[in-house]
Amino acid sequence: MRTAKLINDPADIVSEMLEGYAAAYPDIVRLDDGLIVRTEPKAEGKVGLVIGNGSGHEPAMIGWVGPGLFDVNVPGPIFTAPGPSKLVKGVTAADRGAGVLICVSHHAGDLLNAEMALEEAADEGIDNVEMAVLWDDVGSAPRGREQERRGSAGLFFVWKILGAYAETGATLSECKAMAEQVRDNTRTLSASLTSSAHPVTRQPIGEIPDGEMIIGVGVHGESGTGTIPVPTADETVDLMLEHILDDLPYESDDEVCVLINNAGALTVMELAILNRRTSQILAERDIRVHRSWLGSYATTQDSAGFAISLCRVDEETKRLYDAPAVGAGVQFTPPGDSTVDQ
Amino acid sequence: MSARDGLDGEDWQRLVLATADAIDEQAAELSRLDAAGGDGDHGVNVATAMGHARRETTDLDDPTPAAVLSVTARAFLDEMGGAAGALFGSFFRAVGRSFNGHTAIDAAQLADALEAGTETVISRGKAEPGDKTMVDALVPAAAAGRAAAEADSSIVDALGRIATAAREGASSTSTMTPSIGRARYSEDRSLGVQDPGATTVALILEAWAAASDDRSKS
Repeated sequence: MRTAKLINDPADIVSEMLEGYAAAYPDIVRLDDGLIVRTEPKAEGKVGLVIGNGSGHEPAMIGWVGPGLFDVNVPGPIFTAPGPSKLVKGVTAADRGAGVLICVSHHAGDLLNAEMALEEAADEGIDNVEMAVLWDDVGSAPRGREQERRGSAGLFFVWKILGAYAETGATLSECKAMAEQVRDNTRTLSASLTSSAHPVTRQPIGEIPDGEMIIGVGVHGESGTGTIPVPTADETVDLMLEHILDDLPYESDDEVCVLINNAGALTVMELAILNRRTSQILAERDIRVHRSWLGSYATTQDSAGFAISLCRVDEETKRLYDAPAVGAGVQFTPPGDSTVDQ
Repeated sequence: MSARDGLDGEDWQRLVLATADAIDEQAAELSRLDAAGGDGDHGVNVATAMGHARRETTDLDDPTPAAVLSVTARAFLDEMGGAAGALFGSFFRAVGRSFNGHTAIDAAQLADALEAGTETVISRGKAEPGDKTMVDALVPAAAAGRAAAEADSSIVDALGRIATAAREGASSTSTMTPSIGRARYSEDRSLGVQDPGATTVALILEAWAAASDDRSKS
């Protein structure tokens, strides 16, 4: 595990990262008093979307601000949700006159601070703010206790579909309902071969013995259901996908979007081999794949791990998933649109 | 003013500075405890919050007890973040609101404030005693504060008993298994390790007790 980091003063990691990121993509985002906001604001009269999160998971969520995605990201300290006042500042920055939805990836700190932000907003006379609490990690609580589950990589689908939906002019309550609908159709499971070092303390977050793998690991290295000797890629997918498919359950004739998310240090080669087996199993079960995405969307530093996420889609959510969107960390183009001339 | 009369705003400034020093000294140990169930940065984060509290309380023009606790609360809410920032911030905010209107805090007022702070943490964080959280130090500390007030103790004696109860509560968490928050995903790793949140509560209240005692001797 790599403990050396190319940083300056550890106390400045987040502020220096934000400065550098905004400097790289000035056409998409700008840095506004610690917030990452869209350079071209969303049109007036549309619902604003805000997400706060601990830093250290990039490109989540600084890379998810832009047209068709979030209006404002409120980055907290490393692996630590931002406090209520900063979230309220984010709400104000995202307000286009049609209300603001705070999206919460379900972790204790994110939820507590969002609840307090709603109270503070109400105290300041800011109304028309709601929050959507989102989870997807089947490794964090059993079936029947879904509301105890953590938010993890599969929220990718919520962000993308919700972002497109808000651009259509949907109301605040419609946006919240859509976020929850996508959440309820999404399931994720993660596995990891190595932990990573906390950027500030340089100490490992959890420990995974060499040659072992944990299935069900959280985005902060929270341990899963114990370690097993590292299986082959196909065996790994077989273990994980069975759990995911049985949980919703996903059934024949369902149509899904697939995400193979890199937690940091896997190679595209490995992601592709993992997706090969994923697509084979889905085909065997007569589950159709609408689109797949392989890559680093939500990371835990340079942890050698990944997540498989499925989202069951219908005609409406497919259309929204396919709508164009441009963040500094993710770009979506309509399927079959390979034109390069502008 | 004698210690029996209570702690005024300048005393509370000194208590906060003493707390910041104590946390700086123990930050590495708090992070080590956090590594068992969390991501191993609790000490760094508390030290960041207390560093802000140290600067902000020093800068106060009119340091009433309520104002000192209020800026301490803001340091945790705004600069620390996460579940711990929200819960410690809510605790200090409730204590500060309870101090409102008092120029000096005696044992009875402190007992009221600790109860208010503890209730806020329980209602917001939804942890109960035995869940291996800061609540396991706060509940006995608040009970000791109430007992001291009923025995008509001085504020210095009361804080001494509160600190002892908090330390015992924090020690008791080492045999507990976590059932709430991020640590609940790491039950095995954290067994035998004291809860970092409860330990922070004990450090804060011990620093208050020591700093108030220094004053009575001076």
